[in-house]
Parts: sequence; C-alpha cells; structure tokens
Amino acid sequence: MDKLQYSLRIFIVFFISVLFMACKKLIEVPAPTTEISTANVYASNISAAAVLTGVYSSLSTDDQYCQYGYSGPPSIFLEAGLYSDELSLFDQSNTALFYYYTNNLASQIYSGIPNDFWSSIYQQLYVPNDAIANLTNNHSLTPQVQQQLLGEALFLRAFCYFYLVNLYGTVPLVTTTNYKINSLLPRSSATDVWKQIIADCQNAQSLMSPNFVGSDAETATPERTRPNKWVATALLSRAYLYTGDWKDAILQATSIIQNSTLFAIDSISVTSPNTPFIMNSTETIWSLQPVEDYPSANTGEGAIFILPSSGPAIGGSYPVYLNNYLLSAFEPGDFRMSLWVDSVSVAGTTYYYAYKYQQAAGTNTPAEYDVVFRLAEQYLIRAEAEANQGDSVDAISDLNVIRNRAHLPIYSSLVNGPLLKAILHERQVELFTEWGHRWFDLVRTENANSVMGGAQNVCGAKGGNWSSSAQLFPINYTEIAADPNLTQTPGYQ
Amino acid sequence: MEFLLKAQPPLGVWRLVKLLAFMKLSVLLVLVTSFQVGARPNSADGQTVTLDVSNVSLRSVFSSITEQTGYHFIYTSNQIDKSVPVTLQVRNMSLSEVLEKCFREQPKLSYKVDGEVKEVIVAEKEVRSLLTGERLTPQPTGQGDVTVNGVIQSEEGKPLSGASVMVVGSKKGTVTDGTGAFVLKGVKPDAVIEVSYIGYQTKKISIKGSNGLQIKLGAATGDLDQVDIIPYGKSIQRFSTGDITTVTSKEIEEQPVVDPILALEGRVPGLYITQSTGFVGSGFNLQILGQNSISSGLDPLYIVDGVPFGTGGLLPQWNNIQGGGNDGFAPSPFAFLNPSDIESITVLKDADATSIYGSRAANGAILITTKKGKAGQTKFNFNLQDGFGQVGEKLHLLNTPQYLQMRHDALLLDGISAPGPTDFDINGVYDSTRYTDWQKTLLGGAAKYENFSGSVSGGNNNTQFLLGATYHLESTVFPIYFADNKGSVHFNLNHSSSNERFNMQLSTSYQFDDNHLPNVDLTRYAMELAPDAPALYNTDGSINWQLLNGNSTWTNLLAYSLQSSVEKTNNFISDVVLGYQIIRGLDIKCNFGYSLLNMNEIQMTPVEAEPPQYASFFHGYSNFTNNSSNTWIIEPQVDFKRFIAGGNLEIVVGGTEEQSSALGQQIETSGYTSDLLLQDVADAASVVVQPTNSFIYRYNAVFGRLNYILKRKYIINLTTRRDGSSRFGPENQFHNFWSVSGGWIFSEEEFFKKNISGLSFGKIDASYGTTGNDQIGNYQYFSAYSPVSVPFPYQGAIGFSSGGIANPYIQWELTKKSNFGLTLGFFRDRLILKGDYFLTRSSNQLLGYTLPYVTGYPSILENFPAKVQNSGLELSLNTVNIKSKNFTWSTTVNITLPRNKLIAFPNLDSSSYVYELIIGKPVDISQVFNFAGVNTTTGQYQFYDSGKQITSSPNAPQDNTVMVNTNPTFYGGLGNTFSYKGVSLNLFFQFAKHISNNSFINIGSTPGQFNAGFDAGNQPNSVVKAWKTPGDITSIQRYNSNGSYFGTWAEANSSNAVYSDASYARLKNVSLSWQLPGDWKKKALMQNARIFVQGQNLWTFTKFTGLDPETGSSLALPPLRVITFGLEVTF
Repeated sequence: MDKLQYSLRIFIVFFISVLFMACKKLIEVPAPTTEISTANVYASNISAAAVLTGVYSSLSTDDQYCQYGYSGPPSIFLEAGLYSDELSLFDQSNTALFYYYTNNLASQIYSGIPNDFWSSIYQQLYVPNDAIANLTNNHSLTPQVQQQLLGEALFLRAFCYFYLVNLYGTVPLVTTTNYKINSLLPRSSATDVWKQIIADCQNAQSLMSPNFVGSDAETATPERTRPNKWVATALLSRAYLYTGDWKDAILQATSIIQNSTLFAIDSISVTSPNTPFIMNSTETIWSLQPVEDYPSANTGEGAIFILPSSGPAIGGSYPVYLNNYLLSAFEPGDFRMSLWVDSVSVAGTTYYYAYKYQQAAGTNTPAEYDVVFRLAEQYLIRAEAEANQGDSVDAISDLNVIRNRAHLPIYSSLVNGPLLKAILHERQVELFTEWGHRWFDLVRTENANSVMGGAQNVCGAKGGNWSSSAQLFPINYTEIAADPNLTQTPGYQ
Repeated sequence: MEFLLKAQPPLGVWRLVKLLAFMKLSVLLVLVTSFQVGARPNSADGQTVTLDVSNVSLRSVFSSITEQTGYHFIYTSNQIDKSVPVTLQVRNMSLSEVLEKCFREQPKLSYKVDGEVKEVIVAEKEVRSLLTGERLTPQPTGQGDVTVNGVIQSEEGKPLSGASVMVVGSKKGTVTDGTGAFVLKGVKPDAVIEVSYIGYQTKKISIKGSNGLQIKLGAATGDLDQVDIIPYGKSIQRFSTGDITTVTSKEIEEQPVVDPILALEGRVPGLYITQSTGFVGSGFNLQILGQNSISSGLDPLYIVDGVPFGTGGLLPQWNNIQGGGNDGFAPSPFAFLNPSDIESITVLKDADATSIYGSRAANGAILITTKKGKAGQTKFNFNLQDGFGQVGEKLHLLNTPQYLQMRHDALLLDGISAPGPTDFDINGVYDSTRYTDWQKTLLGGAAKYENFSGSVSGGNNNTQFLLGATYHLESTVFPIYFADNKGSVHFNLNHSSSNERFNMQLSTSYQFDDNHLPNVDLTRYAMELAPDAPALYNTDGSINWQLLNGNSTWTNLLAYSLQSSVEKTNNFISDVVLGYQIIRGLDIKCNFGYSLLNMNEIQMTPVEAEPPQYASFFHGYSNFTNNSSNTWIIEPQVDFKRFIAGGNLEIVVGGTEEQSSALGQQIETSGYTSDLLLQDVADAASVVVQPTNSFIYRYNAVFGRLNYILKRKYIINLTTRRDGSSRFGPENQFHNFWSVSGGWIFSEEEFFKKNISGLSFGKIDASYGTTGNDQIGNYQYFSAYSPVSVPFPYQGAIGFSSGGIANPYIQWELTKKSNFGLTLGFFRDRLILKGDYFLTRSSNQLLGYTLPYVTGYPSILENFPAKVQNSGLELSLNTVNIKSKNFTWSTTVNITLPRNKLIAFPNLDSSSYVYELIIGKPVDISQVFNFAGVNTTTGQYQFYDSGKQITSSPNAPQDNTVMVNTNPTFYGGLGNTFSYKGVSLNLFFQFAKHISNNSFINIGSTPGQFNAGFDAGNQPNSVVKAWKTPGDITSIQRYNSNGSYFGTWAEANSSNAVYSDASYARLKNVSLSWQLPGDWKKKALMQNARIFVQGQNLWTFTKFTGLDPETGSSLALPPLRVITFGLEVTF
C-alpha cells in the first residue's frame, strides 16, 4: 500500500468520525447573555435586591402609564374613582373606562375591555412568591439583607392580596410558583385570604428594617421608596380595620403614630399646598418613585388629573374630571377643597380636578412620588377602630388631627353612629382619588348599594344601572376556562 | 472525537470504511483528459511543439501539448501515478518527435497516436496490480469479451461525474469518475450500453468493440427529467419517490414581485400562501401540506444555497416599519433576497424528501438555489423593468349625504336632540358639505416599480462565473412619497481542477435595502375616516389640524408622514462547497455556509407630528434599533455511487454543525431640542436603553441516505438523521428521524409497454417517515430574570424582571408523514399527470398551554399528546397541447384538496382549549355566536344561544355554537403558455375556495357612531339597509351614536355573520414577451433581445364583499396590481 492510499484511508476514517460527533457538547449553549438564571439571581445581595427593585419599578410603571390601559394596583385610583362617586368620565369613547364608569363590567372581553386587575395583580404576585421561596433559608446572602428582602416579598404578597380580596371578594390563594398546583386552585374564602395577608404582614414586620433602606436593602436612605417595618405595619393596621379587629388595628396604627422621629402630619397652606405628596414627605410611610419619563417624570395621578386650559379631551390624555358627588362632600372652608382641588373653565363649563399631585404631564424632573401609605390614613384607621370599640373620645381626637390640618372646625363630641359616619366622610375628603380608598370604604361599610343605587343613585347619574352584585368585579371568562375549579363572581354568570 | 473514544461506532460504518478501502485497491481508475481545444483553430502549424520544462509532471506536459496542437491525451490516473517527472527543451519540434522524447524517460508507459481524431492514447507496459495480480491495462478478457472504456460529457464538453453506464440486458454497469471516464470489463463485443445522467438525455450506444468512446449527452428536455435540487443532492422526477415541486427562474422572472416566495403562489401543489398586506416585503402565511402544529411555528425550513435562512427568530427585534409591524404582521426576510438571482426554488413536502432534515422539517422545506455561470462565450445580460402598482379593488362606502343621514338618524334613534361637543362631523366643526373619497385620496396613487439588473457570466469547462447586480425601487400608493430601495450583488464561481478530482463552488449574495416605508398602513383610515373629515392641508400648505379652542379635532394622517423612519438592512449569504473525488464513485465534500443579516433603524417622531395642543410640552423622540443575526453551518458529506447487482446505488452520509446567533438593541431617546437632530442620540435629553435581546442557537446532526435504482424500474430510498438542538430541555435534546420509500416505474415493464399504448411513463411510489418541528424559540426551558430599563431607575438601581415559568422537559413535535404518488406520462410525455395523496400526523404538540393568570403567566409551553392530521390530494397536469414549428401551446394546472383535523386531544373538555378546539375538526377553527339577524322590534342584533333561544346578549364561550373553518376547500393554479414565433404569452390564474372574515361589520365601530379621537365613522354603503322602525326586517342593526349598542355590534363581530364565501380566482400573472427578429439581433451584435410586459394580480374574480379575498381584511393594504414594461438584452 503506498503512502497516498494510506493517508487517504486515514483521512476517510477521520472524516467519518467527524460526522458522528453528534455529542452533547456541540449543542450546549451558554445562558443568554441578557438574562440571569433564577438560581444565580438569589445568590448575591445585589441581584436578589434587584429582583424586588424590579417589582417596585413595575408597580411604578403601572401608575405612570395608567392612562394607557395599564392596570396594576397603582392605577386603581383611576378605575375605582370612576367606578365609585369620585370621577366623571369625559372621554366616553374610551370604552375600557366607560365600562368602569357605568358599573357595567362583564366577564366577556371585547377589544381591550375591561382593564383587568385580576391578571395584572396575579402577574405582580409571581415574583414575590418566587422570592419568598428562594429567600427563605437562603444562606448565600448576608442575614440582614436576606431578612429585609424576604420581608419585602412577604409584604408585597400581602399588598397584592389586599387589592384582590377587596376587588373580587374571594380569590385563589397562590403562595407558590408551582403552576401545576396553581392552575387548579379554586377561590379561597375571604377569611383565609385575610388570614394570609395578616400573617404575611406580621412576618414582614418582624423581618424588615425599621429604617428606610436603599437599593442594596441595607444602607439607610432618606428615600421612602422601599418597604420597611412601618410599611408592613401600615398595611397590617389597615387589614385589621377591614377585618374588624379593632384592638389590633389600634395597636398597629399607634405604633406608627408614635414613631414621631420618622412620621408626622404635614401641614398644608396656600404657599405649600401639597406637602404630603412631595417626595419623601414626613407624612409618607411608603411611596413609589416614578421611573418613566412619559407622559411625565412624575406620578400618573398628576399626568392624568391635571387638566390643561383646554380641559378634558377625547382620545386618551385627559379623560376624567372630578365628580360632583365628591365636590359637594367638602365642607365649606376645607383647605383640601381649595388646595387639593383645582379647575379649568372651557366654554362656560368648569371642570374640577384632583390637585394633590401638582406635577402635570410633560414635567421632566421627578418632584412627587406616588404615596401609597401616609400617616393621615393611620389616624383615620385608629379613629375608626376606636369608635367601633366605643372609645369616642380618642376617636374624635384622632379625627380632629385630620380636620385640624384641613383648617376645619374640630369635633367636640359625637356618638357612635354619627361618629362612624363622620369618619367615613373624613376618609372620603381626605383620601379622595388615592388608591381606591373611597370605593373600598363604600363596600366594606356596606354603603355601596345606598350610594351607588338607592336614593342617591350615583350609578344612574353616570348612565348605568346599579346592581348589588357590582360590588365585586367579574373575572375574565378565559380565566375560568383555564382553571376548571375557578368560578365566576356571583352575579356575572 | 469524544464519541469515537467512548464507544465503537456501529458495525456498519466500519464495514463501509473497509469496503471503500478495498475497492480503492481493486478498482481501476481511468482518467481521461478533456482539455478543450479552445478558440484556436486546428491549423497545420499546431503540429509543432515548443517546450521548455524542467522536472514537471507528465500531465502538465500533456496539457501544454494539447494547448499547442489540439491533440487530446487519454490516460488513467494510475498511469500518471506511475510516471516520472519530465525535463524537456524543444523548439518547434514535430509532435511525434516530442512524444518520442517525452516517453523515452517513462519506464512504465508507452503511447499510441491516432491522427484522425487527434488523440494520444497512453498505455502501460505490462503491469499487474501488486495486490490482486490483476492486469491493469485494458485488455480483452477472454471468450471474445472486451473491455470498454470511454468518457461521458455534456454537449459543451463538460465531463459528467457519476454518470451511470450499464450494459443493456445484463447486470453489468458502472459509474463514471470525476473526468467522466468509465471502464467496463467483460463486455460482449456487440453489447449495447445505456448511459444516463441526471438532467441529461439517456443514450443507448452499440459499443462495436470500440475503445475510447466519447459520448456526449444532450440536456434533458422532458418535464420528468428536469433536475430537482434535493437535500444533499439532486434528483429528477422520473426516479424520485418524494413529493417535490420545483419552480424555476423562468416562472419567477415572469412575475414582478420583490419577494421570491410570493412567486410560488398557486404554482406548487400542497403549498398554500396568503400574503398579509400589499406592502413591499410584508409577511405571508405559508403552509406546506396544511397546519401540523396547533400553536408552534408553521414555517418550513428554508435553505438558501446550503445556508439555513429566515427561521428561528432571524432578527430579534423587528420594528414597525414596512407597514407590517403595526398590524402584527412580521415582515418577510425573503424580501432581502433578489428574485432575479434565483435559479430555482424547490419545495419538499413528504417524509422521503424532508426526513433527512430531521427536527426542522415537519412543515416541509424550501430550497432556494441561486444562479450559476455556464461555460461558453462571455455573456452580458441586461434586464430593465419599469412599471407601477395600484390598489385593485375598492370598498363601497357611504358618501357624505348618506353618512350624515346615518349620523342624524342615529342621534334621533338614541333620543339625542343635538350633536354633542365631540360630534365634530355633524356639530359644525367639520364642513358637512365636504366629500372626500378617502380611498382615492389615501390609496389611489400609483406605486413606482423599477427593477434594473445586469449580469456577466461565462467561463470554460473548468471555471465558470456569474456576476450580477440589481437595483430595485418600489414606492407606495399613499399620497406621500415613501419608497424602498434595494441594491444587490450576486457572485457565483465554480471551479474544478484539470484532473476533475477537486472542485469548488462559491455563491455569494449581498443585498442592501434602504427602506423609507411608513410606519402605519393608511388603509384602515381610508375605510374609516368620515367622508366629511377635513382636508389634509390648509390653504397655505401646512398640516390642517382643524383646531377647536386650540385643540386638534382629528388625527391628520399627514402626521404619519412626518413620523419618518430610516431602515437600512444588509443581507449577506455566502456558501462554499469544496469537493474531492477520492476514487471513482466516492466523493467527499464539505459545505461551509455563512449568512449575516443586519438592520439598523431609526424611527423619528418630530414635534410637528403631534397636534398643536401638545406642542408646548412635547419634545421630539426617536427610536434606534440595531439588529443583527448570523448563521454559520458546516456540513461535511461523503457521496458513494456504485453500480451493484444490476442497479445504481448511491449513499450519502454527512453531518451538520450549525450555529445561529442574534443580537438586538434598542435605544429610545426623547427631549430633543430640534426636530432636525432626531437622528443623533447625543441631542436627546433622555436616553433609555432597552434590554438587549440576544440568543445563541446550536444544532448538530448526522444524516444518511441510501438510494438504489434497479434496472431503472425499482427504486428504494432510505434516509435517517440524528438531531440535537439547543432549543430543547436538557433531558430531551436528541432524537432520531427516518424515512423509507419505494417506487416502481411500471411503464418499463414489458407488460405495460405492450398493452397500454400511449403510456410513455408510469410510476407509483410510496413513502413513510418522521420529521420534527423545533420552532419554539430559544431558551424556553430556561428560568431567568433579566434587567429592566427605565429612564429613572428605581432607587437609582437596575431592577430585574422575571422571564416567566420555564419547562425543562420540552422537546420537538413529531410528525409522521406518509405519501402515495402516481405519475403518468402519455404520448411521449406530452401529457404528464401527477397525483399525490398525503397523510401526516403530528403529535407531541408543543402548546403554549393556557394557564390562568393566577399562576402569574398566561401560558406555559408543554408537549401535549394531541394529534393533528393533515390529509389531502395533490394533482397536477402538464400538457403540451399544440406543438408545431411556429406555435406551441402548453398548459399547467394544479389543484390541492387539503383536509385538516384534530384527531386526538386527551382531556380536551377539561383543558383550556375546550372552547378553541373540537376533535375531528380543523385546528384553526373559530367558534362563534350563531347570528339570528336583527330583532324587528328593538333593532338589535340577536343570536341563537346554546339552547337555540334567541337572545341579544349571548355569552361566550357557552353560546359559541357555530364553528367557522377558514381553511381552503381547495386551491391551485392554472397556467397557459402560448408562443408563436418570437412572441410568447403566459397567463396564470391562482384560485382558492374558502370562507373568510368579510370585515363587513368589522369596520370602525357601530354604524352611526363617530369616534372623535380616531375620526372613525364611515361604513360600507350597505348599512343604509339598517333597521329604522319597528317591523323592519333587515340584517343590519339600528344606528347608534353613543355606544349603547356596541355590545351587540361586537357580538355580531364574533358571530358567523362576518364570515362569508371568499372564493376567488385571480389572474395572478400575465407575461407577454416578444423576441426581436434574428437579423435585428445580429446587426446589433446581440445574442438575445426581447421586450416584455408583465402584470401581477391583474384581476380578481370573486363574490367576496370585503376588500381582498386573499388577505381577508378590509383594513390592510391588499396585494397590489403591478404592471411593468421591460427590455432584456444579452450580448
């Protein structure tokens, strides 16, 4: 055999063996360069903190883009405001909002209707659940950071459930990321959901730092944008109030109110009308920092509420103005009416708008944060709990803190029924257009039917027909199709 | 190599290697030079030779002599191996003396001169093989038998490697080597040999005991013998057992289309294409043999010159340009291939043709081959085309008086006494005496169509080249000038060494696209704008915003013209094939392919584009997008051809290693100080970098094919592939695919030859095999977090967002395909009928399984034991009806009758697909409400609910009782070609029977409503039949101005009322060309010159009420009617 033939044989053997190298190595690809695996993300302080930062960022985006159909919890001020008696819809061509406005939600989705809190809140819930699973017993992080982050995740879960249970009554209780289990969950009773909220808040409270911390979940900062112990406490007191546990509501609210080094009721005046809503005000317990620059680098509330001289408009940007029911609720001389409400007149019609946030669309430097919890609410929570316990003296005194700031005459004495009514009224004018408070108050105090229907018939005035079942929102039928154990909200079948 | 070290390869492989090596020793190699004589005439002075060489090979001396004298040398490679280097210095010496000198030094070789045919035959001096003792020179082998040798060439003198030579009536046969040479031993002196080669006419030759046969084969002309490009090889229909259709450059060039895939429409049985819009480069839906997958990709595997192209997320971040994006249609990457560079497009359908592509070919495969140069005189070819495109059809909409009547009637019915503040169309803000035919204003223009191409090609038998360039411009029908400019260059080079053992092929295509098409399709607005909407321009030429209290009252569509985009795309595809013939019948080759596609886009929104009320705080903004993707592929391959046991055996074994990677980046900038600086990032006050999108995809496989054709009658074909893909979960990355097929050319049997007159060809074939579908995107098994980019990062830090729920077990969908084919040729193949019945079943469906949002995400990808079946019949008929000296008329017709159904879906009733799928029905059906007309009392639409009761508030999904199937019942094409002397006329019709969403009710909103934000309000003029007073019996709901009847209107849109018959026949293409008379061409020194007119989408015959029966949409630009005039000359 000559040399050429020999080398050819070698070559053929080599060639064929190359062909058969179908080994695993050749199809292994590195992880995508733009992503980080779940295992790695919870392995360091910085990346684990970034996961929760991502949730706040996403919540903030929901707030700022609410007028474009975003529907995370922060945009509830818009839809719940329209659904209740706070806002009037000018742009009735906005079908998504129109269905809220006329209390006419349906389980069926036409194009883009309705903005669906269910799906957006449950989507927000996924990361906290994933974080709780990965942060519990996590020894890769420094203990302090691990506790703070776990606390934040627990708080966020409770926060999401708070909105779910109030909007939908009973909801599936998802506490893991296992889709096989979760996709078959039925609705849990409201009691169980509240239990979960309270338990998560309690855990969060014990885990989180008493200071406001920065993006590393560790270093103290003046920025009140990351939940801490007091934020969990604020939600906890609210949860106790909503579930009628007056004693604990008082206990929790008191612990915040007494923390005067961090929190105080900001005074308002003509020269400084919006103090509580300026970023990191002392009244702020927790706020969301705006992250987007359009339509404004400030809050969605400011961008959507503050009307230009041309007034509300068709086609997206300024669809709403304040409802007369809200305007007429203000007592004469209420500073909140003069400082937190403004108006424009177009062709003889005056349109009022909420002016708590004074940075409008087109403002390009962040100056206001979207306040989620503020101290005033804690006073009102405590007042209501005290009133319910029969402690009208303390209740009135707490109520007067709020009235005093609004330059209204203080109450000296009120008895049970009127006292509770006064507190509810005070909540209406203090917390208007904030986070759906008014709507939740109407439902939980069982006033929804009488206000929306009945003699007042707010719903009728808005062009709808009130039905008692409208106190809870329907869920999309596709959701029921996807989860065989899920049932439609009563009244929407 | 790891694999080899770990385990023994299968026994068969070792056997093959040994066999090949053994054959190397025992098989005699014969190489015959075939140097072309070239242009130099064989004059008498050619008989002298001048040489000055030192220590060079004998072969090079031969070639020098051939060049100088025109004498060929016939020798074998073995002989050359035995030669010794030559040193020779001669000047004008006679040929015989030179040969004498030359061979004097050769110890083992002698020669013989044949002056008549100018050949020098080299012989060996008595040498025997060391191994076998066999005599290596051609010698008679006793009993009067002879050894025949010869060379087989094309008419141009190109050697045909691998041609089959068989002795008629015996089992003897062989294949030629790289030089086209063959040797047959032990042949009877009076034997007849049959020589055949793919793409050439088969020839029978009586050998008459002669040696040194030079056999030239003419190119095959019959349809059955046209070459089809198949995976890793070539085939012809005659011997194919697969379901393959090829569309050639001739059919592509006749059509003024910018996307070569669109040239396939109606021409390939089993292939159903619908164009999404009439924009240049807009996407299309393409299905080969129906929808196999419930929800994963339906794309076939596209291969351009050996390089996979266009699938698997070619560019990670397409933007909105090309008119498509906004409407959800991905643009077609094939618009970046130049149709005039394409030689053929082969569509592979069944398992036999596609199993060798394994996990990527469940949806079939489309092989695109570019043009190659041909040996011969250097040719310069120019083709100039100029034409225009326009919208062919219009919808009949309300005019202003009808429109105003509708609006006022609506208010009346709604009990509204006066128009509201935003009823601009009737409250006096708009001039109600205006009438604009918005279809004419916005879509009535003529789009420019220009295509100029030129090429130069030529070469000799060893080297051929082609260099071509094309410029293409296409604008839109819109009133504002938008255009897409393309320039492309194509280069092809083929070379084979003088001994024909080594060959290489290089194909390179490059296209540059400069796209300025609009971001928005104006068709919707043309249909929906109120007919009394304001003029586009003010009298001073500025944009008319129709201000009211400083606010614009409408969205002037000219604003879209100011929102300009610049998109620049480069597409580069290059492929090199290197081949080497080791021994006769055994070739190795390797394909190296690379493609690079990148796209840079800037989308700009200047302040001017926004209504004036926002001008005070609005700043211009831009989006910068950079995308690039590249793919490389290496495919080594061994081809083995042998004549064994009376038949031709061909074995192909190879491997694939492929990688695709892509990168997409997007930057959003805003806050510009000037509209003039929108293309500069540096001038932006705010810069937001969007998350980078990138992926790497790797794919690896080995494959093999065995093809055996016995006696040109019996065919068997086996293929196999083992695939690995990085797209699948770590546990499921590899899988085997295979196919088996057989064919019987019964017309070769004596029985049929004798008994059926007129039958010139008859074949039945059948195939069965498996393929897979891997179109699920990358990293689907990977659970991950990725950074979120926002203008003001939360707490100044980057946050992460979750990528969703991951499933590490996902793998491919498996498709089992079977096919039965019958091909009949009559009257010397003037009539060819081909029929195929196909049945494919796809299982292991990868479903984006719908999850309740409760889980955090709307879906997860899972393999699901659902089964989808596609079956159907493909028929095609090609006839030459008249063929006379001056006139020919030929017809081609094809029709496909497809049927798709879901045959299994475990637990469908409890799954999320319960309202989408029905077992036994097609997978893409819609379930809708059952329309029950208009309630004569209330004027509202009403429906039958699930209990057959009439209701105006049906509930989805339980009242979705009607199933709508928009799949075609049949589709196909009909073409006729007439040619009379130099004039040729082609008419091609494409047709389909199907129902479609007629978009009749779907326009805008409820009739009677005006949507101030979007200026929508106009309706088809058939709405005048709407219900007006109780008792009216009609099919259109009452007018309504305030949305209170929106619900029933929307329900009607989700009912069977909006579906109607959309069957159509479209005169897809007409091409008329005239060859200039021969003497004119001669005078102008032209080889070829013709002028032509081409038309695309010329006429549509349909009863459909929507805008276009093909797209089924009235709100998207329909495919344009394009007419071009052209001139083609070749020098």
